[in-house]
Amino acid sequence: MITTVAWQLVLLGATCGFALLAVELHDILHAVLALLAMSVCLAGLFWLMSAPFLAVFQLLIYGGAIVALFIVTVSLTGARARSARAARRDPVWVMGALTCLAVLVLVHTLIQLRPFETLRYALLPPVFAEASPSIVTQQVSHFLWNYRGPDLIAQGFVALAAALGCIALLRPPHRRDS
Amino acid sequence: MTTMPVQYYLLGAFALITIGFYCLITRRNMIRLVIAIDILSNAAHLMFIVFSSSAKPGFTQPLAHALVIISMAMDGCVVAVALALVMLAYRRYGTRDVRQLRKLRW
Amino acid sequence: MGPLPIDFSPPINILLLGALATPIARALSSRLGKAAAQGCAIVALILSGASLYPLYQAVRAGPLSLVPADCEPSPLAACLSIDLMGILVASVAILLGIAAAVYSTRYRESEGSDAEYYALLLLMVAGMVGVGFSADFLTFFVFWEIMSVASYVLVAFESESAEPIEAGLKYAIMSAAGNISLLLGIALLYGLTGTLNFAYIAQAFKAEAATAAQDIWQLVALALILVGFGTKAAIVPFHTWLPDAHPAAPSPISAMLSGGLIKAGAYGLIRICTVIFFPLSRVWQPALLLLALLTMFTGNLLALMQDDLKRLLAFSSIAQIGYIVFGLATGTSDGLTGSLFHILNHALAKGLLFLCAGAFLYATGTRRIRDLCGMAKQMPVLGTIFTLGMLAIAGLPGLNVFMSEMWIIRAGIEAEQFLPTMLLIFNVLLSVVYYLRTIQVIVVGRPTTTVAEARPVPAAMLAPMAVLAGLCLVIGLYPDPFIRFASQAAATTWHGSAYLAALPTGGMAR
Repeated sequence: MITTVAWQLVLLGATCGFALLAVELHDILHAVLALLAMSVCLAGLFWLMSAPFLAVFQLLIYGGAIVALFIVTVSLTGARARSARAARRDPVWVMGALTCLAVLVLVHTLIQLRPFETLRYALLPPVFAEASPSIVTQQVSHFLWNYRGPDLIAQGFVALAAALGCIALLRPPHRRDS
Repeated sequence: MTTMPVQYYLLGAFALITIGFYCLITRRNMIRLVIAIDILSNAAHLMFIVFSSSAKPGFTQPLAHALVIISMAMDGCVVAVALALVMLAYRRYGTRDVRQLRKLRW
Repeated sequence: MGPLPIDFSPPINILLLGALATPIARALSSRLGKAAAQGCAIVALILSGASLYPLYQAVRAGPLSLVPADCEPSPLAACLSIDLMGILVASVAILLGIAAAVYSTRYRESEGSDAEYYALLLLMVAGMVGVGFSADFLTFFVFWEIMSVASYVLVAFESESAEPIEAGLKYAIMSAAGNISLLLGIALLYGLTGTLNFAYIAQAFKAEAATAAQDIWQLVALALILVGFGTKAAIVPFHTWLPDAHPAAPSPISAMLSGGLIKAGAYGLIRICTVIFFPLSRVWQPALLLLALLTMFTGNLLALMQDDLKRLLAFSSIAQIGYIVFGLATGTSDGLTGSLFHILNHALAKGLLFLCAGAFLYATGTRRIRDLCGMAKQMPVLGTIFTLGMLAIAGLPGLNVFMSEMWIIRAGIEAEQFLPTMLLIFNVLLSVVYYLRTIQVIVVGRPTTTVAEARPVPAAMLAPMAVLAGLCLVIGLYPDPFIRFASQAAATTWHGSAYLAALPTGGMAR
């Protein structure tokens, strides 16, 4: 039986792997599918870290709505119609890969030098909820509505702005003679 | 449920961040730029959840969950607007290459 | 704190309700009259501006804080905390919003009455006011995103031509990346302290201030947050979206961008650096000083080469943001006063100039300075207002920007940073070159054929410009009440002391 820690390691590695695929794959549709796979792996990670509400939201929004939007855009811009041309070997990608590796090595040394201690500066005891799925769901929803109501309502207005924006942008051209 | 030490997760999150910024800087396809934004915001959400559940074993903090729920919805809105702009740019310029958008120079 | 279970403060309430009501007014416009949407938007803006005054009176005694009604005050609750600096940012945003809305009624009349335009304008102003009022990172981030998403669409609004789309797409991608960087910085701060409230994080860091500079993770969080705010405030090297976005956006929106959006970025930088990262002052002050000098030089040098009027004004905005960040980086209360006063003055002057550029575009159809030769002879009123705005922003004594630049220079000398202050003075004098050159072309030159065929500018467009020009003059001639306002705002923010003292009951047991 594989322990949860091993599962988490595997899922984290898979997330990074799929992200790299999403960036590197030549065909845009395959890149979007790699993004979908990354979102599913992240949802699994959230579940294992006792955030079941979030795993469901991740699957719905990232694995559902956003991937659907991407697929609509890919088909409307004809991104797959072009035949595969010769893979370009830009010298930029060598420098890019080296920079990424350098950054990762830097972060690793940073972590070795000064490990990140969570809640190191917490002065008041923070609020905690028990980690079993049913209790967490109930506590998070109670918390969200009672303590964070204004943010939820304000976030509705972001959705309003995006909706009005898409309506205004994608409207057919205005007839000058109306 | 036991969790891995925070350090591995931090390394993973920073790996996602570097992949995202690398894509943003070096890729030319407009849709791939929006994919990069997506990867970056997933990295941020991962960091939040890691910090909330690694503080005390067996317990988790609901503040991070609330923030991630709200941020996921907002990121969906941003991706929608960005993709609408990508579609319009394709219609006006006829190319999906962001470096071909050169009408505004100097 | 009101009877509503969820209550933002009155200005934000009115603006958000107005944003909901404007499309409904448009849909009912057959019964309410043709200009229903515009009327609804303008009424909402005026009402929210009017509700700002009682708030200002209440806040002079001390910061006011608002939490959701049915929860006990705690570091986890959504929190709005209104203090004088927030009122300053809010008043700038609403004033420019009213000017832009009134101006747009005639500027956009050929496009039909777009309800979405006015609703998005209201949402952008609501976002700016909310950013000024928030005291908790999540609330701040939500209002920041409202402001950003509305602005992505507004920049690309004239979507029939290609340039706005290009500018809008580049701006959207860069700004979204900056916002995510901000979110990453917030994640690190949350991991270190377990809370998102500005005041609680500030207290937590202050308690261990001695070892703050050795904590690498605080520095990483500071760097990420700096990148996030720097992208929005157009600090070099994150400024590349600005020179494309300003010419391509409709002129009233350019005025809002230059006068409101980049100021919101500068405000965020000021708030976070002075309240939360105060123990790290010795780290961010030199860094911000260097960035400010770079920004000033880039803005001024590139503006010398521009022929497009709006692009010239955009680069000038970049340079002026450099002055504002310089005032923050001096690390004195006087510098902060100068920065806040400059936010107000530059917003008025630059807003006026962008509206004038829009009027030129409306009248002649061109933005090129060479083609606008002699415009002031053709249209004297517009020419006078434009000259007043240009002289104001060049720093003529007796107009408003001069006073704020003097304060910043004084703060630089007080902080004993003589070489940077000399470079600042050099930049101010350099910018006078291209301002005077533009005035010379537009006022003194011989009218070209494009100018001779210009159509007249309607009164609804001239009125907001005249009001802004009048304010520039008034603040320039009688600056004392405004300087007092700015210095009170700076004093309450410095060290975040009054902010922390207004913490709801759970003050620190240590």
